[in-house]
Amino acid sequence: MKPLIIGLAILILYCTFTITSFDLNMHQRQVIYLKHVAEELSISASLFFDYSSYSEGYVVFNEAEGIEALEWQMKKLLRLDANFIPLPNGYWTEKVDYIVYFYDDSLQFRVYNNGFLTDSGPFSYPYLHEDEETFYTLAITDPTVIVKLRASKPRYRASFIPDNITNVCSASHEWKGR
Amino acid sequence: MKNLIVGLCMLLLLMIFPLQSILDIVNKHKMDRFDAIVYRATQIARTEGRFTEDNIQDLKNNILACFPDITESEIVIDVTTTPKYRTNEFDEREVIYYKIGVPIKKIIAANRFLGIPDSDNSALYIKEGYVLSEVLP
Repeated sequence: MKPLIIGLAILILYCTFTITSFDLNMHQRQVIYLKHVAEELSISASLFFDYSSYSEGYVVFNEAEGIEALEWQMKKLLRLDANFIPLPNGYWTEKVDYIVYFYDDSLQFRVYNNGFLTDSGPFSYPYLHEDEETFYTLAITDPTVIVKLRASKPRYRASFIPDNITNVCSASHEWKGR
Repeated sequence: MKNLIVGLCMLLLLMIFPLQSILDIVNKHKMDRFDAIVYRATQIARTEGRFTEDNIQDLKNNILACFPDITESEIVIDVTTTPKYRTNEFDEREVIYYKIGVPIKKIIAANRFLGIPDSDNSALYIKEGYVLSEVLP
């Protein structure tokens, strides 16, 4: 009787371990994917220029078009609805936020948080971009777009895993050799 | 004797889990490699404006090297092959679409012991998305 009871207890423990291990692997893969998405979004946001400035030899980003492209692609890649809330077939379970930083030859940086301008100011090359939240540090020497994504509540089935996990990923894309 | 029999039965049942852990590690490694292969192919496609034949063949070769148990016909590739261009304003019609999938042939380690047929013990792992072209018209 004793081996049976102990065996059943170990069986339940093993089941919990296997399920949690699978959920952890899925979470890790989704965090790596989030990083890839951040890289892709930084590239997309940096593809659109203000061509009147470009004709004078300055790279100044067209933020409206860049943010439109970024938001469209973000919804497609992360399976979000119009309000950036994950769809049922998406992995994350809460609203995904983004922050995008534009540094360009206008020598004015602009920061957009979910599409709204939240900060701006002058800067000069070289400039050290520092993120206190993620410790993401980048020396800005050329026109650069930095995208930070914040995704919450990964899918863990075990109740003992805390559900207040937020993953933050940053990526940048810069234009060199103009 | 009774304890021995019960113990052996429980041992048999519990042996499934280490095997499942090992299979999970192998599948995770394969899927992570597949993610990296697809990401590389999409970045190449972005710089070329489309998925070229060389890029698609390179993608297939890399996938087959990572998944020795599958054939080329089992790889799902549905990608944009017509040229897409970078525009002054964002245009959904000028994005490069990709849907690349590969079968994962063994998900549960001891599927036959648990009564799961081999046909149900596989799934298609698909990466789908869009990238914007960097090619100027």
